[in-house]
Amino acid sequence: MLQTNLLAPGHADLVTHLTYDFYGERLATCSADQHIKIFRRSVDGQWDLESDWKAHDAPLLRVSFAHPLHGSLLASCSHDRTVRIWEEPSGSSSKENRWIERAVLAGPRGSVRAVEFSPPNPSYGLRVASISTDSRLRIHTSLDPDLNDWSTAYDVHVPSLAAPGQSEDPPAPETNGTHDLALGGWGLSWCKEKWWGSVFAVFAGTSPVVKIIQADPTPTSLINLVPPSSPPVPLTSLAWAPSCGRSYHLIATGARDGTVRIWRVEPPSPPDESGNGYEDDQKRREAWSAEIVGEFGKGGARVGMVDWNATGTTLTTSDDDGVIRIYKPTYAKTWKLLGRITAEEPDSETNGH
Amino acid sequence: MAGFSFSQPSAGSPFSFSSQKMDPSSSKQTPFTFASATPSNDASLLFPQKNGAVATNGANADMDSGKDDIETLHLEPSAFSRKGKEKWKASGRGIMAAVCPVGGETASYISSSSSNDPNQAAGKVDNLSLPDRTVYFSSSSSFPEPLLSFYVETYTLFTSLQRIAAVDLRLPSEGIRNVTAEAWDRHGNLVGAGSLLGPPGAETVGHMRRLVTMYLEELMRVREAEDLDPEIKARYDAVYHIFHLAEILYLPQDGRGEGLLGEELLDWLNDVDPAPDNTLGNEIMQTRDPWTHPAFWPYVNRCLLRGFHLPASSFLRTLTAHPHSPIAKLGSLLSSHLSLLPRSHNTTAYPLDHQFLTAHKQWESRFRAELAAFLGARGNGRWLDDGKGGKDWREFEESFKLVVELMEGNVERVLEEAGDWREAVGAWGVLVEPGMRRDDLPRVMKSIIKTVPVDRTVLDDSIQAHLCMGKIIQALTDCHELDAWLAAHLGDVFDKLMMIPDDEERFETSLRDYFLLEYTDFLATSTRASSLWRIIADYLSAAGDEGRGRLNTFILHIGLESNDLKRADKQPQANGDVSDMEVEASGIEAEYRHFADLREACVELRLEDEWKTISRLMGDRLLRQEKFGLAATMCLQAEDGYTLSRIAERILETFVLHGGEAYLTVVDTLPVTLLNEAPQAFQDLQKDPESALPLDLPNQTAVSIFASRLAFLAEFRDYLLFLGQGARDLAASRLVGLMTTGIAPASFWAVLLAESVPLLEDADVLFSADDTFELLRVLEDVTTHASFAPSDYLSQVSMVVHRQAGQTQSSKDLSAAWKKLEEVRLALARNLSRALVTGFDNPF
Repeated sequence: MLQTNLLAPGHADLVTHLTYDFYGERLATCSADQHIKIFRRSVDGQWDLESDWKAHDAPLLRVSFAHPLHGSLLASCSHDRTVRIWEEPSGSSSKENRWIERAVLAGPRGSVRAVEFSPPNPSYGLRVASISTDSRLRIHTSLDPDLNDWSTAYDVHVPSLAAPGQSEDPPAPETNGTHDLALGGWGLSWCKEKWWGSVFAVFAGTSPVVKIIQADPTPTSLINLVPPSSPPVPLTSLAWAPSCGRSYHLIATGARDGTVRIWRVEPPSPPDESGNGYEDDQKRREAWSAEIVGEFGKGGARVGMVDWNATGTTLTTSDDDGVIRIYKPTYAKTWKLLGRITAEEPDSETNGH
Repeated sequence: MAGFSFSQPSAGSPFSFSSQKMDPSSSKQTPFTFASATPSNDASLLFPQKNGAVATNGANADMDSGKDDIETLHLEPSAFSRKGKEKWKASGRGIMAAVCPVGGETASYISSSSSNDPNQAAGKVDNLSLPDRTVYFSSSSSFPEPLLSFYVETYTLFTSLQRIAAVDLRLPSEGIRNVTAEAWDRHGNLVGAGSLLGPPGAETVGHMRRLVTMYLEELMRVREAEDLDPEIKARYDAVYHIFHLAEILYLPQDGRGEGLLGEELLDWLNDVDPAPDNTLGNEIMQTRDPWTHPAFWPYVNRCLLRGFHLPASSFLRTLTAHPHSPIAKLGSLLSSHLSLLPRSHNTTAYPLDHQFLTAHKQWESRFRAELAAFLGARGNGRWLDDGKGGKDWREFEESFKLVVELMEGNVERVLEEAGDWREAVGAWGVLVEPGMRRDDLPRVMKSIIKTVPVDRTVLDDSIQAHLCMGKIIQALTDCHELDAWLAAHLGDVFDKLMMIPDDEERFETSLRDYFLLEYTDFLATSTRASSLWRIIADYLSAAGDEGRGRLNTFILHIGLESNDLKRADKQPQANGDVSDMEVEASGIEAEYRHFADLREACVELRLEDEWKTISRLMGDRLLRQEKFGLAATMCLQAEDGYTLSRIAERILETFVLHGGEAYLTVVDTLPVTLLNEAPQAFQDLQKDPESALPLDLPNQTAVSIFASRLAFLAEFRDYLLFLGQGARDLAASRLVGLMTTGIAPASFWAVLLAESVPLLEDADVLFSADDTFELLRVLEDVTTHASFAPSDYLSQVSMVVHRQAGQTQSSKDLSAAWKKLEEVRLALARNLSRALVTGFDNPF
């Protein structure tokens, strides 16, 4: 591993989130200073500032680029309890390069902690999912190709979603006391494959459970990923790996106690055509199943983020000890730590390796 | 931390680094390889827990950086020291990272870790430190120029190898060929059916050997490259020798591996580990009595083991000058016999293996007989007695004995004298078992390593031993630790030789595919990934289902614009001036080149759906850049009717906003054939929508929408051209045609009516009464509809009127448009009366 470059984004406060566009040609940063900045990679590999604007009335928390099939779009969320949709000005019309606000999606009764555009799916058009500290997951959609008319497609309270196979709601949702809020985490990640419809993973509050949810016709939990550990440790981060045509999915989670888990989630296989399978088998095939295939870092510092590469074959995680870790599977799909990146000054004694 | 300081930020000015760019090649970090990062535990790679077992790393096992062999990159400027870590954490900071979807770049940044109230932002950080203001970029690997050209060159060899193997599989019978023709892409990569037949025939092995020889030549080039890091050089020395050994053992010259192995193996050994040292030899020979040199006998033995029998023979001949006559005699005897020892590579003397073996046997018995004759009845300890007593020559006797035993191929002696197992195996096929063939090698190795074990801590040693023992899987697993290129390419060769057992019950991908994928990962995450996309795509395509799956994603992420184009764009360009065609043209050319490459890749690798998506994305991007012609071409390839109609709308908008001249320029950027054929195609389509295949395009719906739009654009262009040439009667009839055939979009009707006014008021009567009635009907339509949806029907004409008046238009105010319609009505009425009078044609 080697350091290749540096960028001074020039925000007036800490950067809260950073994301690459589809081609890795552009970078969007958002900050507690309420601004979004867009940088473009130049021919010589440097990052040039392309545009910079005040996007929200409070610190931003996340930004997400839409798939380019939907045009040049950005979604942002903030402590100001809104999600905003931005579109890049086209042609030479705007010299300022400030992105045009296409929508302000208000409604959450708390900070919006995560926002992500859905992968392209002709059946559903463009969707954007967000989750806020009121533990409500909202999906907004624009049926108008000009993106001026956004409406709420779904709005569900995540803790109230029944686990698959349970007809009743689980016990009363947790109280949103300040204590719970302080320990809670909220995050979501879309399934990148359109085959199974509009499916995403979400976690909310102090619950350690990730729910895999199918949006249509009404949001339903397909399977709950319940970690075996007790007492329950709240999650901090979540990422659904691109599946690249594989028959299973990988979902990574990060928790407050430093645990990074890799879940292998298998969707139901198509019904057996011969129809002579055992009943048990049939049942198993009809439901989603999941197992943990990797677990690391328990007892360490809070996990900051988990993220996959474009082929879902490398997992990158960070923690509050200032260490970024990169994991890769071996031939037998055992996950192994491959390398580390740290912001810590090299120890003069151990430096001579 | 000099070199990483920002200049003091001043209001409004961007930060600047004193040292913006870090040259990867000058970085002190050692280049990353998978080999160096994977713990040397091959058992866990090969025989791991089955799916379902959880790999749980100890909590803090990987916390203490530097205490394990996991590679750690320390970012600069660093954010905290080891001592200051707790304080840094307490300040509410943490590190975050983002992964680039293309290449192996990771962007890291300091962020706020968490606040007590998730609804409140952490307090504003006032004094941002240098690391707080920095985004760090890192890459997982980088390699120098000589390796880049090596990877590029061996890629073409790799693709040839795939073709050869595919041809071999295809040959056997027509039936199989028909069934499986679909299974190959145009590169000859097997993308469909699994392997159908047994190991390749001798002829194919011969072809493969030729290609592997070329691999070796490329490897030689790397080894000889100047200014290459010694560490990399050493690694490629090892890679070369391993690949060479594999070629000798598994891709024999005869294609069947029936020949004798000894000499080839010995040559390989002498290449890997040259011995003995020539200078030492010269030194010994220059000594007055060479046998007095302390290295005399060891040197002779080494020469014997290494097959340098003639030098050994001349060394022994020096003994003829020894004053003690038995020594002189024995020296001469050994020397002469050694020089006669038959060698199998002497094909002039022994064209056939059995001739050599017979000769060797004869030599051996003659040697034994003459030695026995020399010794007479003298037993051990008395070999060199001359019957005169005196000096004890037993030390000499021991040395002679050793030489004799080596010449006779005494197993114990060879193993004792050999420096390591490689020397032993090299000597074995020449001295011990001259008839050794490839099939014998595993047995021979077994007996050798009992006495001379393999040092398992030395990776290349261990790989070579595994190869000799026929343990292909273990060898490849170790190769994977040594070098990603080696594992991928050697694995591919072994797979083609059907030497890798299929274990798909336990593993999802074959070992070959896994190693190929590892190699593509290595290339794709290197700093040079963007220039290697085509190579990566081909390797992915060759790597089974998993590779194909990744390829589908990979190809979509390839940038739509080549770097050439970006450079062209950077040059000063007349801002939005469409007349500056030359600048435009060079850009288009560069764009086409990259695009042609991308298209070629999609076609060759059978990525039709992906190509459609790429075309659609490109069409969209070009439309954004107002490059309508190219955009239209892309959309046609993508069968993207929606974007096509948007393009048509945008072109028409040019007329509304900028007038006829601008419109003509823009419309001419559309592909000429498209425009010329569109009206005819549209007519055909209307007549017979089933059979008409306009413009040779597959998707009718997309095309029929666009064909009507295009037809309109083309006819409107003709109208403008007639008008410009003064052919006002033709212009008038074209205008009527536009409105009566129904190809004009409704929003544009009012504009066309407004256009008719000057023609209506021409001195000549250009519109017949019939035509005028048609226009009146259209006018009535527009006025009726406009009263319900004024902006839909009048906004465009309103803009045209304002443009012509040189005013900046306000979109809401349509009064001018209504006024214009009244003008049209008046002109129509006047024209109708004129037409009735002058035309004598009766409308009733």
